[in-house]
Amino acid sequence: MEDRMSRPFSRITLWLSCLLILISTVSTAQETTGQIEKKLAGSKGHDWIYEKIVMFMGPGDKCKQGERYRFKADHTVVISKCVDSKLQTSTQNWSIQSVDALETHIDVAGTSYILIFWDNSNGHFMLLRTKSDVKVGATIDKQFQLAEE
Amino acid sequence: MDEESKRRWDVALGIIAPILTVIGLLLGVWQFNRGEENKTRLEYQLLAQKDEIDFKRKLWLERLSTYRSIAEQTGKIATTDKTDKSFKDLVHIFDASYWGMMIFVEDPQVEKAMVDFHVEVVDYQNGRSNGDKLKLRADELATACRKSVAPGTAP
Repeated sequence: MEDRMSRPFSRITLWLSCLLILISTVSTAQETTGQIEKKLAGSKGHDWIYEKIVMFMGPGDKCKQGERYRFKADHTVVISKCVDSKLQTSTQNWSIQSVDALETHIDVAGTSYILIFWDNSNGHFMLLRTKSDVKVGATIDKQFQLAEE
Repeated sequence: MDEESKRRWDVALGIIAPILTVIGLLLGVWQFNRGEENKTRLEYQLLAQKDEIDFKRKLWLERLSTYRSIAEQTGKIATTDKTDKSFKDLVHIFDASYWGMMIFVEDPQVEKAMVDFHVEVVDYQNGRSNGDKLKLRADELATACRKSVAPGTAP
């Protein structure tokens, strides 16, 4: 009799445990994605320098060199690039595609990259990588440094 | 049947019989030659098949041995700190296998895992990765190697 009564309770406990595990797994995954997004864009936006933008002195807005990505929390990225002595700016979208223990994939302006962060004594760094599956293919890295705010 | 027609039949048969005999002989020789040709062709095909199976078997055994060696190398790299003196030498040995024997035996999945491990080692050396990731990559590579030589893949 007791056994019959306790059976539904044990089932409920089992279901609740499964639900808790599922919720915690999902929330952990979201947290990881959230942490990465925060690292990349901060709460308002982060400037990532690929090549420091150098402007010419004097009138006009002539530039010498440089490329900068401003990742914003609203999933837009403002890309500023010096082309033919003129600073060109375009706004694109970005999103985290997948996160696992080894790789984080990010979509920037429709192109998929592997996203890597690291820190050293020189500052905070970020890398956008396209990797080939074959040995003779090239691995292309675009390394950025977080601009001091 | 009168005597005249009987004689004509005898003459006709006397001419036709040797011709038929010669044709029969020629057919026999042709058939024998054809049979011999087929036999030789089959023997060649069997030999070629045997050679192919032998080659595949040797390649499979070579693959098994190379994978075992690469698993040992990646294991050593993953468990050695980059500040250790032997780390550079271990990476050098891995690089030699990467551009050498592995190309001869690896399948596309193992090649991808090799590329991933190689890139991870470079990242680790440049401070962009850590020992844990390197271990995970080593595990990924060993799993790909194991799948590549799983039972049923041997010829």
